[in-house]
Amino acid sequence: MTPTLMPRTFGLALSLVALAASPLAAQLHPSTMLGEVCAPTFEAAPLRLLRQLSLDVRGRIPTVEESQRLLDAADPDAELASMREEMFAGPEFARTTMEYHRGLLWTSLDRSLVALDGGDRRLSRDRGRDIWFVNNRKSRYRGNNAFLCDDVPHTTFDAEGRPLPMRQIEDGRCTANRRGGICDIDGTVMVAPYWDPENPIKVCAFDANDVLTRPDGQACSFADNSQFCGCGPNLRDCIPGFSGNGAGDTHARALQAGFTEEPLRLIQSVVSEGRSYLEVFRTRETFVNGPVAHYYRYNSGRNLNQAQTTTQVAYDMRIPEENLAGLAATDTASWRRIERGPEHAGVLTTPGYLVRFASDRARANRFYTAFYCDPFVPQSDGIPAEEENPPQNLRERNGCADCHQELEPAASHWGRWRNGGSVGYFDPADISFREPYEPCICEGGRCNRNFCNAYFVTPQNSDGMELTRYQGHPIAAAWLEEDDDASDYANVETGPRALVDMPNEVRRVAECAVRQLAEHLYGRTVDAGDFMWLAEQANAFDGDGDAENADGTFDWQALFERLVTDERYLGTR
Amino acid sequence: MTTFSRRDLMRGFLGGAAALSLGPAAHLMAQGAPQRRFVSLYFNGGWDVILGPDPRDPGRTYEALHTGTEYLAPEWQTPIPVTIGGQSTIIGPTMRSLVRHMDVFTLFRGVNMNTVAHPTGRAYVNTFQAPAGVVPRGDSLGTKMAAGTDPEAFVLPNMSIGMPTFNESLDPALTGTRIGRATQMRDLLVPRGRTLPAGVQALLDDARRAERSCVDARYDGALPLELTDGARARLTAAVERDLGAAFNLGNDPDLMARYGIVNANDGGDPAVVAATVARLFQTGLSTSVSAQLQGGLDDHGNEWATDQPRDLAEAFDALAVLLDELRADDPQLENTMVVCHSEFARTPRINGNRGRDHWFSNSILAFGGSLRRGVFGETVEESLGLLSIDPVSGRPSESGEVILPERIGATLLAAQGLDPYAFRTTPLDAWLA
Repeated sequence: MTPTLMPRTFGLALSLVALAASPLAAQLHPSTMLGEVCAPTFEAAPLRLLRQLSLDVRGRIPTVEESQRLLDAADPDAELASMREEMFAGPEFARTTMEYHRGLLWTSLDRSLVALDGGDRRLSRDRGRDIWFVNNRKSRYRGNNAFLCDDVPHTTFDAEGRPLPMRQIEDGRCTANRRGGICDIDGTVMVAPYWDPENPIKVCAFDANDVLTRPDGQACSFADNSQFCGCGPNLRDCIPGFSGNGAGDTHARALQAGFTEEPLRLIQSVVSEGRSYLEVFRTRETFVNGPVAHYYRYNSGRNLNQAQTTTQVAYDMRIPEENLAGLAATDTASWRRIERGPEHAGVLTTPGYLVRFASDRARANRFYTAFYCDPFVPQSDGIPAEEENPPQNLRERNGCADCHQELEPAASHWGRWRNGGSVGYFDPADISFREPYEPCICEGGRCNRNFCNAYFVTPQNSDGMELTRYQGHPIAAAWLEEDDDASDYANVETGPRALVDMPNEVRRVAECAVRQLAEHLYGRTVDAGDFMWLAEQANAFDGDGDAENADGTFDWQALFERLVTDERYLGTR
Repeated sequence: MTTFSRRDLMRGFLGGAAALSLGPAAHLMAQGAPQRRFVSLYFNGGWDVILGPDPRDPGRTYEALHTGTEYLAPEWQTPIPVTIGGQSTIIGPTMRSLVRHMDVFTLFRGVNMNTVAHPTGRAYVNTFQAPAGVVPRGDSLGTKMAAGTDPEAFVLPNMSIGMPTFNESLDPALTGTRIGRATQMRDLLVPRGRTLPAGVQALLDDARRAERSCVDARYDGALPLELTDGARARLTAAVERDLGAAFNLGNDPDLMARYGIVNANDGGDPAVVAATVARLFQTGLSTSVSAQLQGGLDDHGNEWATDQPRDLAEAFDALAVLLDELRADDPQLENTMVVCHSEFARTPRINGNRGRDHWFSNSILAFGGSLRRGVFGETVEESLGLLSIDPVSGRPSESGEVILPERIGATLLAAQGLDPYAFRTTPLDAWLA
């Protein structure tokens, strides 16, 4: 494809300006750099190759000093080899590794934070009065959504410090929590928020309540919906939403950025430590920074019963506090390696992946496309006209079966991970894929529990044979299959790591990794003429397919180095 | 014809124009009958055709389709009866403002997108050719449409707002100029105000000449640097003509009122996008404009009931005003074609979260051009499923075929008098006017 004129023009101009402004411009003149060589060729001039390497390995052009060093070298080829080693050893290659994989994972959570704060703990700001509050809890605190706190200092508290109403309003709309037409109105308090402790903000007193127990003695928590529980000390149990709120927005973006960067950090660590690339899809390790650590400390960890209060189930992963100690909520720069539960599978179970790809099928499709190089493509003449009484099972439906015969087993690897923009895991101890979940067997034709309708087969989201056979089962359990050779149920229980546990799967990952990186570096499609070469490169990457755990195999950096020293790279311009 | 073409600008035809002050945008408008114009408008996220171009009767129940009427506000519950090309049908309530344009309307229903994956569908409606996985194949529809004109006659012949633009096989001069948001048109046409020192400029020129000597022999057609120079010259001319002023929409209260624009700096507002598209034609800058008219339509949750109809109506309202403006100098849109599309539709059933998921059976809207007005195609009444359609009558027929976007693309191109060869299929000849 031909890119647009503007970026190309701009890029060319920038490069030339940088070059022309240099005192070495005369020596580094393109005619000198390029000689009389025009693409395609296998005889790249050293300076041109230096520039190409630097852009690919470090993401920037060489410095004037580096160019001079090459010009001055008695043996330019040897000097270039030395400089190449330095590039791979330098910190910029780590960034290159992350950015390359950002392209494969399509990592972006721009519009997805809603799933991570669960909605009912999101702080908003009344801009006119500069007062913070939790929009989704207005009704619970005061009796009706129409009422917010007064803009006066709150002065009435019970003996333990819980705010009591400053005044009451008689209004027929005030019916929440059996209030009988009476709404409770609070004032405001000043709070130093955890995301910007130096600058206190004005918060409605009910929302700012920092007493950690209810009047009946039960503990308040992130998952608690009681009117007697607020956002806790320094508002720690709540998350500021995006709404032009200065430091609040900054924290929300930092949290978003943290979850976005997590899988890329994970991959970068695997690569830089020379570990098997397969760890990217298998390891229980991951990385957290300050905002993400705060999230795990105070905004995560609902149990199954608590999670059922909303469809937007917050991430229920628990990280021991000792693993997070010392990471302040405002510390975006420090990243710490932590261990997750055995259900995890590298990047494939990070929030950045699960939220970005909101359905099990989307998750499988991205994995197959990016890491097997095998996208799901319908038959060339397209989906046919709808048949009479089309089967609900997509593996059997005319036109759908082409993809879904393979896609459904692939998607089943994420069967226990929640979807729809939320992140969470249905523990086998709580949820079976072979038996219905009793609370979600909704008799009488309607199911009023949002949680059930979101994740389980109910009359609200299903009918016909599917409802008859699977009512109360997880939606992901519908139409699973098993025979002597394969079991979707086994995929569910093993999780995404099972996508890289068989020799043929490992080989697919190896070949695809070579293909993807080669096409990235060479700027062209790997075609039939490259197949032998591709196989050789894949052999070098996976140790001929039989030495997965041997030293030096699945070393992605080594693969990168091989590809930029291959003659195909020298012919790239 | 007094549109300011690139050629004219090069000759200094409007050499004194740079002295013009920032006056009313009307001073910048082209005069006379329009050259051929093409608009491609994309609805990002997958639109709900049941609320728009392929509705159902809210008063009855369907075997495998839920109208969702009980979740919708009253204003979004009832479809509108209309006549299109002599055919009686209904359109969704979100399209109310388009009723006045039914006389230039061709509606394609039951188009098989062959995918329910966003990136694949996006690639598909960009080129109207089946993508390779998620990778677009061929030229963008807007690029193909620009091919029918003389690119020398336009400063920015092929504009793309918020969408990728591709040119795989056509004259490089037709390659699209892409901006992320409509409001960036102002930035594109503003002088940068910075020149390079003479010595640096001389070095640059030398470098450019050297580069040219190296690669000249390898190219059959225009050289990359000539194209670069051409692009620079065109933009410089547009800047000197002060055409950027036409895109300061906030300076035109009448336009703001016509489109109902509240914030002229909101580049995501469909009204701002539509007004910008209109200005690209009115200034004579472009002959083909592709734009993302609306985003955020991927409503899987209960926001569907409120956001989907609101967002669709916002976009269709803006489209209606754009059509008003395009019809001002081309009442029957004989030289103008406007096409609206989305990567796919949404499921006929409401899901467990009270939203709709992705569905492959889609609609494509076309206004104007040499197309027969009317409704081509149909979906299964009970399920929004695909049907085989007779390519002549446009009615369901067992001997017909399921219509793919390629077939529509070929028809649109043929309707503009262009060769549809790239689509590797034949146009729906009976639907060419």
